[in-house]
Amino acid sequence: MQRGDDDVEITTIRAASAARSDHQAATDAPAQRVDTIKADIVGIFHASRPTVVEGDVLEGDRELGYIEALGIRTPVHSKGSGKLLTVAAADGAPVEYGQPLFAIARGR
Amino acid sequence: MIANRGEIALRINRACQELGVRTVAIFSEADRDSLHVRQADEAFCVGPGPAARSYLNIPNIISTALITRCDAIHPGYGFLAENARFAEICSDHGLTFIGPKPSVIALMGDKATAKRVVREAGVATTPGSDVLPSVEEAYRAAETIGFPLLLKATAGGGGRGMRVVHDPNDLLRAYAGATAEAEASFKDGRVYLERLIAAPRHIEVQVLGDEFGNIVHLGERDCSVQKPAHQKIVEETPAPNLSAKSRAAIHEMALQAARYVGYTNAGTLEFLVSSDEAYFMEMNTRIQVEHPVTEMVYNIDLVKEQIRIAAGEPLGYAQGDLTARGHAIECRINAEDPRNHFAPAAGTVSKLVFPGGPGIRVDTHLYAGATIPPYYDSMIAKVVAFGATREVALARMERALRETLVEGINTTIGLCLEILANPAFREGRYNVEFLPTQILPNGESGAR
Repeated sequence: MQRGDDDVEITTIRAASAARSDHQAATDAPAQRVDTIKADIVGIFHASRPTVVEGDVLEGDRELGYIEALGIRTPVHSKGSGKLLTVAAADGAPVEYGQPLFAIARGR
Repeated sequence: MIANRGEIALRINRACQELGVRTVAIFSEADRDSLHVRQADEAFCVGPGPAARSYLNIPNIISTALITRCDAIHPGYGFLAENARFAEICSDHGLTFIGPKPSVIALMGDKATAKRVVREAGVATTPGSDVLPSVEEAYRAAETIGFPLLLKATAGGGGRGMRVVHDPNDLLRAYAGATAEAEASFKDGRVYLERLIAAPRHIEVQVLGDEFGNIVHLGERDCSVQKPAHQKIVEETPAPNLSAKSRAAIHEMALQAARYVGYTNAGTLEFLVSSDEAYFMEMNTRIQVEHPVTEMVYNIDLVKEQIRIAAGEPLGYAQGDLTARGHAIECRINAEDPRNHFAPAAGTVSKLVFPGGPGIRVDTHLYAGATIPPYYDSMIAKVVAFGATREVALARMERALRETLVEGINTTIGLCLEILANPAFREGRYNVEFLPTQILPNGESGAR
């Protein structure tokens, strides 16, 4: 596990072993890396506009949303390019520390 | 919201459930499978294992309280329970802090200030100094007070930042050591001196005050059985072998000090007692670990009282309405190895049997298969025995501890049984030197 800034934690797994149903990952070498972006603070998650959806290809370090706590908005970033595999956080929902928000496949 | 973990979080949850109050638990990633998480109505993870990032993470705790629409926060003991700033922040966000006013926490939480205030109230304190900003001032104060002395951290607790000073040659090293340790432990290196009272008893008085100026005491607890680092391990009420006159005097001293500071909610005033002379030592502005012994003899639920008081209800009884009945003893079961300087014993509990039967109460968050994280206090259970007399309570406690089985980790059960079997303890003749000098040196105190 690798720490992000003060807004998110990123958990990295190798797609080839962790997501064997992904044909792309199973057939392509080297293995694809999947980062889970987690909430690092407790608050209300809000999706940034335009809202991202599963399957979107993200370029660069994109703001995916923010967590609002005690009147302060803490942005949640994609931490780099990749394909958005999962959107786990609902817009306007409370999130706890360590809660997975997004899963992003890195590389090809 | 219950801003704590372990047995006290469960204890508070039980009081809330009986009052029909919905609860929100907070937990760290290391406590995800803890019982307090399962038993609360809602639970929120507020950080990783280390307490500084979870149970002391004020922004995440307050944010949790707000998004779950809590109206009050019970801090338990330890963590943020005596943090005046936290109490203030709660109030700033429209949350009721279940405890005294922030100004009173600040006043009584600072040990040197608390002693000065209590002296103003006319209550005897151990002769001592104010805060000592330099070692030169410490030398001057030491000459006035006289040796032996105790150098103590004003923010201290659990024996940290504390040094015994027998003569002037020790003072320089003790001052440097205590200030550094206090700075590291509490981010507050201020220290003060007080006269060392040889082999005192540690006797404390439970008080309750409401928002209308009503203050009562709920008797005393003898907490003289302490580990070398001044951590309590066996507590009982009433204190054995204390004259009626001394008992009444200590109760009155506690009330006098509590009234003087306009104390509200539950609190405990600790006294050192030597030859029936009592000196105020410090005040804990929160619920204590050992509160169940008081509950047993007064038949009052102190945590429910805390919640009622915080909700603005009057006490509803006066001192004359309160009568203690019987005797209660508490043994703390800690996950630590008494044969190895009480080294913490983190691990997984493989087998677990807790006692039952007449007069026994067990407050614990433990279950078979539970893992004890390395980050927190080592206390895993409190076994409390109640009886019509001290003899009955002692017999029940011995029986209960023999019924208890905790496998997979070292515990203090064996040590507690040794204490109970000791003739001096059985006769109620013990002081704070008892455990270090009469039990620990024989090397037989063992885990079971």
